[in-house]
Amino acid sequence: MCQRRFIRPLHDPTTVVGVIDLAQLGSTAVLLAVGVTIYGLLVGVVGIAQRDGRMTASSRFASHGAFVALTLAVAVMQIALLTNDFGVSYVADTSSRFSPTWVKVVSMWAGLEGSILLWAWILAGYGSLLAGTAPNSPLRPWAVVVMSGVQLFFVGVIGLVANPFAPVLNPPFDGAGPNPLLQNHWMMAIHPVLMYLGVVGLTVPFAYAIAALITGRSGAAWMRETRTWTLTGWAFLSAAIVAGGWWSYEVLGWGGYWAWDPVENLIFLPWLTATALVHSVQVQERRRMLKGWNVFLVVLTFNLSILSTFLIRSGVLSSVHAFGDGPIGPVFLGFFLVVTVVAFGLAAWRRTSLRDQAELDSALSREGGFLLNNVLFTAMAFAVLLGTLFPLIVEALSGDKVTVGAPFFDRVSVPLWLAVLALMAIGPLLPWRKAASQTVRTNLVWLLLGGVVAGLATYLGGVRRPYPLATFTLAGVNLASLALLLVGPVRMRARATGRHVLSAAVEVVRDQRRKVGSMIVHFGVVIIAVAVAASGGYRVDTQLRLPFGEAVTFEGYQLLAREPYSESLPQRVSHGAVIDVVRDGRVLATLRPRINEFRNARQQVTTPGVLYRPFEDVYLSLSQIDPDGRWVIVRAVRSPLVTWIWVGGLVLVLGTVYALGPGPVPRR
Amino acid sequence: MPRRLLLFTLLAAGAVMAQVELSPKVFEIAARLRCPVCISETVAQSSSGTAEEMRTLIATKLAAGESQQQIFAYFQQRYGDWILLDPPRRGIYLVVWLLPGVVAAGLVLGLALLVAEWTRRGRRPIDVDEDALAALQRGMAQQERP
Amino acid sequence: MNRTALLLAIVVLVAAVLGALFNWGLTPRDARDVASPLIGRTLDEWEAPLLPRYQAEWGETLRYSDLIGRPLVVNVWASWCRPACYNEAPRWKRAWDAYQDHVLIVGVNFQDTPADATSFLDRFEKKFPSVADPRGRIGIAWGVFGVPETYFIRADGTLSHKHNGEIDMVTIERQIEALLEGGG
Repeated sequence: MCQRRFIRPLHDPTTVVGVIDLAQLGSTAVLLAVGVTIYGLLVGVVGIAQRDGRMTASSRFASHGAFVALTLAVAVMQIALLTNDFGVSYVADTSSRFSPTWVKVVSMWAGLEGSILLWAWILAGYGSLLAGTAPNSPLRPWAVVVMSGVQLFFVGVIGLVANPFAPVLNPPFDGAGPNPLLQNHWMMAIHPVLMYLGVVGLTVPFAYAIAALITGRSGAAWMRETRTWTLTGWAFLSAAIVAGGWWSYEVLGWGGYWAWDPVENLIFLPWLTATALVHSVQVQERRRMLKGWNVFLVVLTFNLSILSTFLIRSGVLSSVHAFGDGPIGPVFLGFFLVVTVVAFGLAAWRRTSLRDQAELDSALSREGGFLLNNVLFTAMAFAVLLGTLFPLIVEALSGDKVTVGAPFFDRVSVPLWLAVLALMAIGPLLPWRKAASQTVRTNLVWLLLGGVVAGLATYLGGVRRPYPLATFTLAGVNLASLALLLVGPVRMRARATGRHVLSAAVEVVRDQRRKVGSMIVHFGVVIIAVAVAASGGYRVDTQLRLPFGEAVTFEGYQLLAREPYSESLPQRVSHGAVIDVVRDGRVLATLRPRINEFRNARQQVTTPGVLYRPFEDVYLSLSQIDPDGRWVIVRAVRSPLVTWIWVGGLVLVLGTVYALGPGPVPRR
Repeated sequence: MPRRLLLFTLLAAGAVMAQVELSPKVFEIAARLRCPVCISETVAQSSSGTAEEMRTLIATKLAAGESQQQIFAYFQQRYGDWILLDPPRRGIYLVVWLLPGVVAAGLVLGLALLVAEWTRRGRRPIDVDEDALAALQRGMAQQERP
Repeated sequence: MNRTALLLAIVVLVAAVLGALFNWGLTPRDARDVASPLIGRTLDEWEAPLLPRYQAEWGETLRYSDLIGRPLVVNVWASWCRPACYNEAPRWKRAWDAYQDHVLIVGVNFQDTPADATSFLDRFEKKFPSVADPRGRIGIAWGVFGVPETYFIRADGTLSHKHNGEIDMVTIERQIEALLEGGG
C-alpha cells in the first residue's frame, strides 16, 4: 500500500487534511501524558492537604489517564515502526525497512529514546495498577503522588529532552537499523521488558516508603501493602538477569554469560539490595523491628536503579552493553541527585518515626539469620559498587586509567556467596525468637551429613578445585535442609489428620504457600550456584581449525565440518559452516554457527552454534572461514552444567509465583 | 635492548599464521588481559582482530617456553598497568584491594555488637509495679478461697 | 534537632560528592587515551611490506631499525577509521611538505585490506611511505589502542611522545619541533 507522509514544521499552514502525521500524533500523546501526570500530581497533593477524598480519587483517575495516553504513544510508535515511517526521528535512527517484523517491533526499545518510552509506559502501567487495586489506606494517596512524581520525570524526559517523535524534515529512504547485536536473537523481545518490569516494579515499594515517611506511619502497614509488589519486582528482575545471561551466552560468541561488565554490575546492585529487603521485611512483619533499615533498603534499591539507568545511558562508564551517550545524561544525573537528597533527607528528618524497640531473644534465631543475610548482601553490594566506580574515581582524582575486572569481583563475591549458601541452609531451619539447642543439634547432624555426602561424591568424581568443591558441598547441605523443612510439617500433618504421608505432603504444599514458595526459590538458587561453579571452574576453551570433511576431536566429541553455507536475507548476509557434533559414532546435533554482516553496520556479529546437553554444552563460534573454502576456524567451548543456570532461574521465578498465589481458604 | 628485539617478517595480507590451534591455557591467560581496542572485554572474550592476534601471540610465546608472568609483563610493558584486569597493589589502588574486606568485616562486627545489645535488651527483666503485683496476688488469693 | 541537621548535612554532602564525580564523568573522554608506558624507551623492531604504490621508490619491505637515526614520526591509520583518519590526512600532507627534509614520516596501515588502503591513498595522495600491518602485530608490539595513533621518535630511537586519537596541526608541529630541538 502506498502511503504518503508529509512532515512539516508545526506552524506550516499548508497541512494537507486527511493525512495522519504520526510524529505529531505521538508527540501529542506524550504531551497529553505530561499534562495528565502534572494534573494528577497537583490534585493529589492538594487533595491530601485538604483531606478531600474526591481530589485524591481524581489523582488516581489521572494515573489511569496517563497510562492511556502513554499506551496511545506506544501504539503510535509501533505503527510508525511497522509502516516504516522514517519521518519519525526515532524510527529513522533505529529501524530499517529491511528488518523482519519482529525486529521492527522490538526496535522500539533498541534505542535510547524508545527505551525511555517503554520505561515510562511500564511505570504508568504500574501506577495505574496501584491506583486501581491498592487498598484504601492513609498511605495510598501519597503513594499515588510519588508514583506520579517519578512518572513526571520520565514523561518529561520523553516530552522535552529526548523526544522519539521528533519529526524528520527529509525522511530518508531507509533508517539506520538497530544495533546488530540487538536484532540477532529473539531474547531482545523479552529481556528488556523483563528488566523494566522488575526495576520499575520496585518503584511501588519506594512510593509506599516515601508515603510512610511523609505521613509518619512507618509501621508494618506499608510493608504488608507492598509485599506483593516487592516480590513481583524482585522476581522480574531476577528473571531479567538470568535471561540477560542467556542472551549474552547465545549472542556474544565467547561462550560466557556473565563478565562483571559495568552494566551487568549496575543492574545487579538493586537486585542485591532487593534480595536483602525481601528477607528483612519478614523481621519487621514478625517482630516489628528494623523499620528504619527496611525504609533505608527500599530507598536505596530505588536509588540504585536510577543510578544504574543514569550510568548506563550517559556514557560515563564504558560497556559492551551500553546505550551510548546523549543529552539525557545530565538530566538523569539531576534526577538521581534529587531522589538521593529528598528520599534520604526525608528518612533523616523522620527518623524518630522509624525508631523501634529492637530486641532479640537470641542471636541463634530466624531473626539472627535474616540479619546476617542482610549484612552479607550489603557487603556484596558495596564491593560491587566500589569495583564498578573505582576506575572512574581514580581517573577523576589522578587522571590515571586503571582496570578493575572479573578477578576482583570474583574474589569479593565468591566467599560471600558461599556464606549466603550456608546461611540459606541453616536460616529457614531456625525458629523465631530462640532456637532450642536440641533441635539445632539434630538438624546440624543432618545438614553435615548432606554436606559430607555431597562433598565426598564430588571429590571422588574428580572435582578438586576449592570453590566448586565448597559449592557442591553446600548444595548438599542445602538439599538436606530443604528435606528437613518439608519432613517436619508433613509428619506433623500426617499425625494430626491421620492421613497418609503423601496426601499430608500435598496438603502442606497446598496450604503453606509462602514457605513452600520460598523453598522452591532457594532450590532454584542452589541449582544456579552449582551450575555457575561447574561452568566457571571447569570450562574448556580452545580454538581449532576444522578442515571440511575431516573430523577433529574436541573433549570427547568429534567435530565434523561438512560444508560452508551462506544466507542472504534482506537485513543481513551470513556466512557459516555446517558442523556435526558426533559422540560415540552418533551425530548428536548439526550446528550452524555463522558470521553475520548486517546492512548499514560495519561491525560483524557472530551467531554461535550451541549444543545443549544435560551435563555440558558444546559451544561453537566461528572465527574465520577460509576464502578458498577448505577449512574454518572455530572457537570451541565445553561448559559443564550451563543449561542448569537457565533452569534454576525458571525454578526461582516459579517459586515466587507460587509464594504469591492465593492462600488456602481457612478452615473453621 | 636485545630482550625487546622481536624480529619477525610479515607476509602479504592473507598469509596463514603458524598458530591457529589454541589450547585452553592460551584462553586462560587471555582471560586475564584486557582487550586494548575493545570497550570492556577481555582478550579471551573479544572477537576483534587485535584480540585474535594477541591470542596467537600468547600461543607463540607459550610454545617458546615463556611463563605466564613473562607474557603478562610483555603486554604490561607496552600497554601499561591498564591491560591487567587487577589494579596494581600500591598507592591509591590499595583502596579497592582492602576496602571491601574492611567493610565486610566492619559490617559483621557492627552486627555482632547490635545483636549483643539487642539480646541484652531482650533479657532485661520487665519492670514490675510492686504495688499492683501485690494487689493482684491478694485478689487471686481471695478468689481461691471457697 | 541537631542530630537531624547533621544527618541532613551528611546526605547533602554525599549527594554533592557523587554529583561532582558523575558530572566530571559526563565530560567527553576518550576511553582509550591511556598513557603509554613506552615513553622514553625504545620500541620493538619490525619488518613489514610497503603498500604497493611505495614499493618502487622504497623497496619491498621496510625495516624499522633502518629508520632510526633521524627524527621519526610514525602514524598508525586505517581506511575504516572514520572520521578521524580522514580529518587527519590533509594535516599529514602539510606536515610532510613542511618537514620532509628534517623528519621522516612513515605510516602504518593497521588491520586493513590492500584495496581499501589504496582508495584511501588515492584520495589523499600521501607522499610518505606506509607499510601494511594487516593483522595488527606491529600495533600490539607498540601498544596501539586504536586508530589513529601517532608516535614521535627521537633520533636515538626512544619514544618522545605518543598521541592517541585524531591529531591537530598544532600538536604535529609542536612535537616535531621538540624532536628537532632535543638533539635530533
